[in-house]
Amino acid sequence: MGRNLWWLLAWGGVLAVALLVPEFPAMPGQGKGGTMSRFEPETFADVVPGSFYDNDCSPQFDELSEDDLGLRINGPTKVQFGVDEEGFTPETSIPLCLGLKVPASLLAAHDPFTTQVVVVMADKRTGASYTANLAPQRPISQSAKRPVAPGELEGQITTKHFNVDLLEYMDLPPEAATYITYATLEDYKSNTIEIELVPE
Amino acid sequence: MNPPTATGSPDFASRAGSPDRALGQGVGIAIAVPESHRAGSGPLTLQGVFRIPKDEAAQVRGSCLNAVVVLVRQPVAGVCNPGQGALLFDDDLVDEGATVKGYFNMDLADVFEMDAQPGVYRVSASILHHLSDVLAVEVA
Repeated sequence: MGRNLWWLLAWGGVLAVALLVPEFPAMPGQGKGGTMSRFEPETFADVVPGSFYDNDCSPQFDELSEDDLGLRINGPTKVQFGVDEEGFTPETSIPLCLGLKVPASLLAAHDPFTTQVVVVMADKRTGASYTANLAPQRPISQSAKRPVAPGELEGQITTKHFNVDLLEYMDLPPEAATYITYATLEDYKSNTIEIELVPE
Repeated sequence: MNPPTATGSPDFASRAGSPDRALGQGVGIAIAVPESHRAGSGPLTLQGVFRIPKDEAAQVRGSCLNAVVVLVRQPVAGVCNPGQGALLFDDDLVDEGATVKGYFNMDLADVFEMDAQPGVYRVSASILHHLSDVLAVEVA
């Protein structure tokens, strides 16, 4: 009798949690709907668009070198996407990880600094090109906007990472294509990468 | 200015002032623009030159001039393909054996309507995986 009561209470608890929690927060890589885009390498499924942190896909810098400055990008070599009557299915994403190591004063002059970063995607076969400034698509927390005193950043170098979903910025056609992709910031230009879009 | 903008009236001839020296003998792309421009004073001419291996050029449908991309930022970015929509001929490209060389010239003020918004613009160009330096132009 006592054992049955414990089972009843345990299952009742599980049922109550399931009913009271309407939706669990999306996990990295789960995408905006349910089915995620498929990436090569698969690690890009863990990239959270809009986040400002270093991850396994982020481009890296030699932190000990004062000469290793610039802007770098990394993205999936292949993205499998779905198509519906409105174009890309809502869960489709094209993650891009950016890293920059530049004079701190350069970033402090612009708030938020991502608006100064411009990405270009050019169709390798047709040449058709697209561009966008990476203005945040989501609010940035106040802690990221601490005011800086004049001269405070003199001579300092800063490293930043951030991650975006290129489909939030680029009005790409939902077709198979390979895009040569790069970014610029002020006088800096990034490496180039190729992202192949493949319909499922 | 986002995204692809009108192509203006570019041409693809070698001209005095084309940045051949900046390109050198290697592969890549180079551009030249004036450091300053007074709005309404006439064209703001970008001159560009590229040299790429033939096997790279063959990846582009039609002429590889279609793959030339010009990017202008101030800070909002605009991009255009001077070769797209233009009437291109075989002799627009110089056959150098293992490589091809091409020129492009265009009026940035016309294509990107830069005279209407004075400021410092940053201009660059690319073809496939080759990127030019980023040059600044002050429009006053």
